[in-house]
This record gives sequence, C-alpha cells and structure tokens, in this order.
Amino acid sequence: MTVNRLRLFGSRTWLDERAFEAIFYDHYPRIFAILFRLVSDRLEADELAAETFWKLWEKPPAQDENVAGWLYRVATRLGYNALRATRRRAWYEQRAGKDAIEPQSSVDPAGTAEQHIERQQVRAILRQMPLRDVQILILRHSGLSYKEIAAAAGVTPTSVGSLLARAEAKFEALYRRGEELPRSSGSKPVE
Amino acid sequence: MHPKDDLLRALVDQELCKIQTDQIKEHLRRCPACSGRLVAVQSRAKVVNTSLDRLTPTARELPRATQSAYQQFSKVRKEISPTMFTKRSFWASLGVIAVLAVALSITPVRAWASSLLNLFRVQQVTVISFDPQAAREGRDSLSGREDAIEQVLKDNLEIVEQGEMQTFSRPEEAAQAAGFTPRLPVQNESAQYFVKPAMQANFTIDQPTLQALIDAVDVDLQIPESMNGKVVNLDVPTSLVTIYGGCPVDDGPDSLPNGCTSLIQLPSPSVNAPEGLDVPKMGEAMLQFLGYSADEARSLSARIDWTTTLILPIPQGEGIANQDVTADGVPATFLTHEDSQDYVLVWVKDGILYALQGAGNLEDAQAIVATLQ
Repeated sequence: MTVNRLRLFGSRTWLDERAFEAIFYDHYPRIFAILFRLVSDRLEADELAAETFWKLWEKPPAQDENVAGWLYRVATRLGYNALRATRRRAWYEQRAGKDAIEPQSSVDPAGTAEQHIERQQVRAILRQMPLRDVQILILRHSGLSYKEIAAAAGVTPTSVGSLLARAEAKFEALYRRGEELPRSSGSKPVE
Repeated sequence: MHPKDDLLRALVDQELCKIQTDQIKEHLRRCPACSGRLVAVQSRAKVVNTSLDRLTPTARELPRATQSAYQQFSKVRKEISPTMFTKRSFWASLGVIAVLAVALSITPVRAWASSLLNLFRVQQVTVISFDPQAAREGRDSLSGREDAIEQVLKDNLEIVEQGEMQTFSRPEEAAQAAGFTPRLPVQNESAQYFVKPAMQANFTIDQPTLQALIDAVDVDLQIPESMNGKVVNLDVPTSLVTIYGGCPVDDGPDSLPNGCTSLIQLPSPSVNAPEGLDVPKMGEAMLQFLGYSADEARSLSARIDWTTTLILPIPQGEGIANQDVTADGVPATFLTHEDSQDYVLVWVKDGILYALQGAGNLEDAQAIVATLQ
C-alpha cells in the first residue's frame, strides 16, 4: 500500500516559478517548431507545446536529468501520437487542407495547396516509422546536436550516428516506394 | 579499417572529434569504396532533409511570441493549481465535486474527463453551467493565501493508494483484478486494460483555519466548531480503464492521444462525513464559489441531491456543449467541445459509473455502448 501525502505539492522540489519561466522561454519556440513539423497545424502544435510544458510543471524530471532532453522527448512523443491518431488527424488534415485552398490575399493558393499535399506525403512516411526513428529524424532536422538528440532519445551520443543512418535508410526506402505508400494513417510502423 | 555508415553519417554532420575526422578523411582518400559509401550516405541525408524541409513552418506559421505563450500558459496554470487541488480536496471530501471549473476552459475534453472520472464516482451526473469570469473573481480573493491553503492540506489531507496500476491484455484477468464484474466490449481483441488501484482520501477538519479560508472566498458557510478534528473520508474503489485497439498507450491511460476510444468504469465511491455537516449548504457555497449569486445558489442547490450527485461544472462561452441523452437504457450526459471531434459520454447504471471517451458523434458513442456485455 502506498501512502502518498500531497503528491501535487511534494513532487516539485527544484522547479520553482522562476526556473520554469526560464525553461519555457528557452525552449518554447523550438518545441513548437518540432511539433509543427509533426502535425502541420499551428493550433495543434501550440496545444501540444502547452501540454508538454504542463507535464513539466506537473511532474518535473529529477533535477540532475537533462531538462531539454526530457522536453524534446515528451514533445516528440506527443507529436508522434498526434500524427498517428487517425480520426483526430483526419480532422486536422481536413482543416489544414481547407486553409490551404481558401484564397488569402498574400499567398498563392495553388502553391499552398501543393505544399499541403507534399506535407501530407512526408507525414505519411513518418507515420509508418517507429517513434524513435521519427524522434531522431525530426530532432536532427530541427538542428539539435547529437548530444542533445541522445539526451532526448535516451541513447548514448555515439549511437546517434548509427540510429540516424538507419532511420534515414528507412525513410528513403519508404520515400522511394512513392506512389505505393498507403494513405491511411493507421498503418503499423516499419521495424 | 573501413568506417561504418554511422561514422560516415556523423562525419557529414561534423559531429566527430578532430582526430576521428582526420583519420576517416585520410582513409577516404585511399578507399574508393568508402568514398562511394559516403556519397550514398550524403545523398540519402539530402533526400530526407529535402523532404523534412517541407514540414518546416513558413513565415506565416511561426509560433506566437514566447511572452504571449508564456502569459497564457501561466494564467491557466495558476487557475488550475494549487487552487484546483484545493477545491478538489476540500469539496470532494465533503461529498461535493467541483474540480473542473477552470480546467475545462483550456484543456482538451479527454484530459479533464479523465482527471475527473478517475477520481470520483457517484450515482448520478448533473451538469452545472457557470460563468468563468464570475468564478475567477471569487478565486481572486484567495490569491495571496496559497501558502495557508497548502499548509492546511499538508497538515490535514492524507491520500492512500491501495497498490499500483496494473496492465492487462486479457479481459478476464483485468476483471478479476478489478474486483467487480465489468462490462467489456465484444470483439475487441486488441483492447488493453488498466486496473487503477482504489484510493482513500482522509481529510481532518481544522475548523478555525478552514473557516478563515471559507470566509476569504466570501461565501456564506459556517463550519460548526464541533467539527474540529473530525475526519471526512472519501473511498474510491478500484477502476477499470479499457483502451480500445489501435490506440498508443505508451504513456498510460491518462495520456491518450486525441481520437482514442476508452471506457472508464468503476463502482460508486462513498463519502463518510461526520454528522452535523450541512452538505446541501456546502453545495450552495460551492455554487457561490463558481460565481452564482446567493439566491441562485440556494435555488439550484435545493434541486440537487448533493450526497449522490457528480457535478460537472461546465464554463459558459468555452465551446463546451452538453446534451441530456439516453444511453445504456438510462439517462446520460453527452459532452463535446467545438474545437475537437472527441466526446465524453457519462452515465451511471446499477451502481457503476461509466465514462466513454472517443471521437465522433452520439451515434458513434451509442454504437460502442451497444457492444458492452
């Protein structure tokens, strides 16, 4: 039996208001950009970024853990889950597509619609890949160093090159399949 | 020795130390095969990067200013915690549930639904609509007293969990661990089952301190001095969460992505309050806390059985809609949010509280309910 006195207050021993604010300012833009790559929707990326920071506030990692790595791990996991949540995704895709074709004064509707389709194709590839591969590809593309990626993915920095090379090989194979790619989002990740 | 692809990939990213870089470059000068592999690695990286470049936010897709994002986050966070916890422990301990007032205004339907329904269970469900602005003004009077609130909780509230959460893939094992006969979906072989342990919350009334806090909120409620030292006990039995197939459950049943279908079920909880506590009066006070006038609170409170009713406070103007429906042959509440395709259907039958969460409309929910056996 667990006797737990005041879990909500007891868990936050080092992350005070000031420390949390500093972390938020340091990482919010990048967390948003990472999530946007996975969901291609500003509102959803913003919601998921807020959820990421909420998790940090509610249950921060141990003080000696790499907070940035923790944040990127949580964010990519949330983004990956959102990417693969079929019905929710269909709704966002539909909305994003609608946004893309609605005429806006400063954008080229045809170009935006094409961009939307291209993004769908890339995300269709990512949807078929395991979480860790997607994490590594997206984090690397977002400009994280191998050391930062290692902290986020929970691997050693020396193994990042190997994991990245393998993830890229899988991505390329799926990319080359091109037109044969299944369009449904519920397909199983390729191991 | 020929470098493997991982080293070549790290070389492309300039992630190797100078010694390794020099060694590999020297090798590449002498080894056409490895040079060819390097070209292949570079080419593959280029294909991936060019593809992923398409996902990079454009100028009109950039995030809002960090300051704006932080201000909104901070505002929401302060409204939820610790005030939310304070309200939950205080009111719930007294048989009245009013946790979600603020959470509803920002978190997705699934988040608040699970935070509520995992904790409290009763015999019937009633939705109460309230004005968040008026409620916020009520809470303002608590600002600056967070330390006092936290101290009351530290000193007086004890939460006891009867074990750890268990995960099952076979329904019969989950049913056995749950300790009651659950309703399970037929023909859902890929479902996963989580059995959450029973929980007890014991709150010892510190009458003078509690009364001071109640007075600070400016609601009309007197805790009799005779209550000092008495214990209010909330018993929450073991609950079973069924996650339907196709939903990633890496983070457990409380962190499901949108679009997942899950069913929470649990026997009704019980609240043991000492004699002499005027529970309807406390319900009235809770309504005032949510922004109702004293008269409105009195009128509404009189129509609610506070000892058996789960109150879902729904903020007005936040895009949440509730509908009284019939599900499983009994009255039920169907909740949706305008920004989401997800719904929550809540009902109580034969002493068991059910909450079905999923994506779709009422017909979709009803179709799932019809499969429960």
